[in-house]
Amino acid sequence: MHAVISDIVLDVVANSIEAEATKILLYIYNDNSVVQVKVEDNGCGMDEDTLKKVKDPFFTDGKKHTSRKVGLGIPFVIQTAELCNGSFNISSTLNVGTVLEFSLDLNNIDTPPIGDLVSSVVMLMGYPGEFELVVKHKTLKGEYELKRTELLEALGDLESVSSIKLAKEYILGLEEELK
Amino acid sequence: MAKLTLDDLRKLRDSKRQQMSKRAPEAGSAVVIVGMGTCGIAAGSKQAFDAFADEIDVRGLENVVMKQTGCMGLCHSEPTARVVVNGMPEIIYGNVTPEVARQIVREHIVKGELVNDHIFDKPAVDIIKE
Repeated sequence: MHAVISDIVLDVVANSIEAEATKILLYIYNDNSVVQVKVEDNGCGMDEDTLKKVKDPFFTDGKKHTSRKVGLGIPFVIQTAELCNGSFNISSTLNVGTVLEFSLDLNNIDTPPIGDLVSSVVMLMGYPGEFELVVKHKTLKGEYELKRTELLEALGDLESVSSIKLAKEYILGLEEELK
Repeated sequence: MAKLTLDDLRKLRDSKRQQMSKRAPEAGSAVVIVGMGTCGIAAGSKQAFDAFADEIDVRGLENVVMKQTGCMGLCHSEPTARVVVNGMPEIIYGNVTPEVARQIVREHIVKGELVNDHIFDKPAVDIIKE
């Protein structure tokens, strides 16, 4: 499974981007005992049959490349939730979108650390494509909301290293206020 | 560190544009595309991406852009990075640790020398979305 929770977040939101969503909401809440993550998108969605299959690590959509035999992203989230006394739920409607949620007990010895969430958010914001990504992060100290369209408008791009560096500094500032 | 605002970012963007327009155009440009499939993320592609960006920044290389893509079909050799440098063959590197990422910047992008130990082939045509 992924080493840190921020890698899980990176992986599942990348799924939404690859599902050609034009609007993605990433909501994160954490305090001393729990971390909750919800990803909601308006991507291509899945029918009931596919929704059952995505939990199978040996299922992949066959579109990304034909020789691949595994699809591990969602099974990794389920495995992590099961190991850490957490919960997982995924719901989807074909041609409408998908909602994926999980929560993990931060006091469980097997729960991975949250990790470098700033890098994950910067990379998601910089992923190529025309989509809006809204990140909301809430803790007991406060909350922030960050929109990809606003960040792109302020920086001009998220591909030059100077823009990536500034985006990182900006998001780090937002995260520091929540600690 | 003082917290930045969106207005600060706008001002920095505008001043950067003014500096770029005064500078003479540089020969050569490069694109580094890091694979971000589940396999890549699990293998540490986030750290590789950060190392590329940091080394490019430290060396002050202005005309290098960084992009992400999904799985490139080389799951066994993640993290992978596709490096496109003007005037050089397009290369996919495998097993790109942060140290290898910095080596690729120093040798491939700056000096034009391939990092032979980590070269793979081009990804499958069906994976690349241009």
